Amino acid sequence: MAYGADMCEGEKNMRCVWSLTTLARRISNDPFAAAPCRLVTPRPKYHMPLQRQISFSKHLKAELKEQSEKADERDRLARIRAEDAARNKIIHLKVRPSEVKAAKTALSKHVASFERAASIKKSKESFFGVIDAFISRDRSRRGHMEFLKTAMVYMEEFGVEKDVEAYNRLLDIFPRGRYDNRTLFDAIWAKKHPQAELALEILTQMEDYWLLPNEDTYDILFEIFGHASQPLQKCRRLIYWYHKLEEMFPNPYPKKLPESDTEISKLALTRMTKDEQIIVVYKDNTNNESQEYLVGAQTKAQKKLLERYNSPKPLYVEGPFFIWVRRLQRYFFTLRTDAEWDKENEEGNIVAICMSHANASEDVLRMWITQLQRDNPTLANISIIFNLSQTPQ
Amino acid sequence: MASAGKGIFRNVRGFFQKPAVKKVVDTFFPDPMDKFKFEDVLWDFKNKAALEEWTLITDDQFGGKSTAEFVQSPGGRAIFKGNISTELPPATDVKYTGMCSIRAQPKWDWMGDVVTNDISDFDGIQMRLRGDGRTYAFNIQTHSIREDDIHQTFIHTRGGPLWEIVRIPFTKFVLTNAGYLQDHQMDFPRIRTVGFTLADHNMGPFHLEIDYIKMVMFMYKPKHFQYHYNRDF
Repeated sequence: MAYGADMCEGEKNMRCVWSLTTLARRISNDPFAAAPCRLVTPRPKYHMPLQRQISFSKHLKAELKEQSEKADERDRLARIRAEDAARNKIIHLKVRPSEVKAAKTALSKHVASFERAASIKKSKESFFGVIDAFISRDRSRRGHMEFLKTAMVYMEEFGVEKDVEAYNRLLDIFPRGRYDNRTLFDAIWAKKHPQAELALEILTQMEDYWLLPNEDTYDILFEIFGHASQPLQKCRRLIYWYHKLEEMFPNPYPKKLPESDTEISKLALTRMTKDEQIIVVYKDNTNNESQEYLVGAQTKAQKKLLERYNSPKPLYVEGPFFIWVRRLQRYFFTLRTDAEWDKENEEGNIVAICMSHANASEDVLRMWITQLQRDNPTLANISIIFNLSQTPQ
Repeated sequence: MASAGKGIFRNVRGFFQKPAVKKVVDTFFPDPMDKFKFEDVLWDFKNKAALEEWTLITDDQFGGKSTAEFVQSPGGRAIFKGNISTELPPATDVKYTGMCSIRAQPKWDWMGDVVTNDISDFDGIQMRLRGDGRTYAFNIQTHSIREDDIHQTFIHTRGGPLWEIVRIPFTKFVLTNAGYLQDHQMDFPRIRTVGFTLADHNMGPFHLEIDYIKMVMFMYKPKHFQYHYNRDF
């Protein structure tokens, strides 16, 4: 204490005590700790006797002063920020944070391991190999969230996005005994573990790919998140609703659609009506490379209708109209009667349907009509108008 | 007139079989089944006025690029057509897009109460459609406490030029709230509005032609519930 050389002894002691109490106050961060050592103890604000307020002018003035001070402070801060921005060249975009699209995944250190595995072989085994390497490298599963998020992105590349086992392996990475519900309240008000939300995301992806969780999924989620946790609830719901919603479909397509155009057309034609149909493949493009194919269909009722067709009015070939076969857009053409022939049906009756590609030429459709004439002799006497549009309807 | 019974009973029965007496009895004690309706038409789109009571919503409300319209078809019915686009809007948190929906506007009576249709006499909904092979969701908004509750079911349209009649029993509806399937399924006594939604993650054009929507009484035999048996889960 060099500065205390010319002080008297008492004053020196006083200062020593003062500095000690200041230190203590700073440590404890208590404003009143140092109070007894001060010569004049400031009274706390709430001990002030209440003053009857006759006019508000005093308070208003004080408020105005405060506001001006605040405004000054704001200006000062703005100036500082502007200077900072100029120095750091930060560009402030006028975009609200909620509007900013979150990046799918930040480039994590696990990207490299996935890339390396993908460069060797893109298969289920190599995907599992990366997971095994991660588990064996870090027994405490540190950074497993980052790893899982990266793995979810790479699932499609490895071709395991429709494999339940892969999802089970992913869920298996979560460490046991950390995120389970321990009390009743945990189960009622679900804990906002980011890990639980990630597990829900994984299960949602399973749902999107229309996968049914199996017993392993259930057991893994039970071990990690426990009974009545959100991920396990989600798993239960998936299992409960899967078949109920699947079997709402009264006339489903086969699980894997056939590849040839004619087979797909046959499926679409059989689904158009529940009546029995005579489906004929007029032109097949499976063996040769040409694009053109033609599949026609006619029910017995339509055939009978054509037999008793006795009208000078022509028939119309119209199209192309589109139909969706799961995710594939296919096109069909119709042969219909005139609208005035049948009073009940204002649109005319459909006599035959054929499926072809969108820009089928008139020649192909003429071939269809000539083939139909073989089955329906009355068709030879009826004039036919081709009413084809450029865009599918 | 061959009347069974003997003695006084014969005379009593004969008395009640007289046409005048029969008429009097029928006016005072009418048969409840006389007024029973086996169907009740909710919407018939042959008249154009029904079209204007429907409303349309697409995902451009939150940045999507789908377009749709609900207009009168060339055949004189209503057609719901447009184009679904699953393109995500730039710089947002939106995960999925591609939704088009139509719904009947609720009606209010002079008291300010919502007009509802009582479904207790009916088994299900019947409608005449002509679709494009896509799967549409059919929504029923009920007179429920929670306004977001809708009962949904799927309509797997056949596609093609032929009309189809779709019958959906009320047992096939599932309760969803804000798009989430609920654990506690409930049945509903009244219908407020009906609507169709298309959101099948499938990019491209669509059209759904609707002739009528009505509630019908049919003896429902649950042959589709075979899947309750011989399943693991």
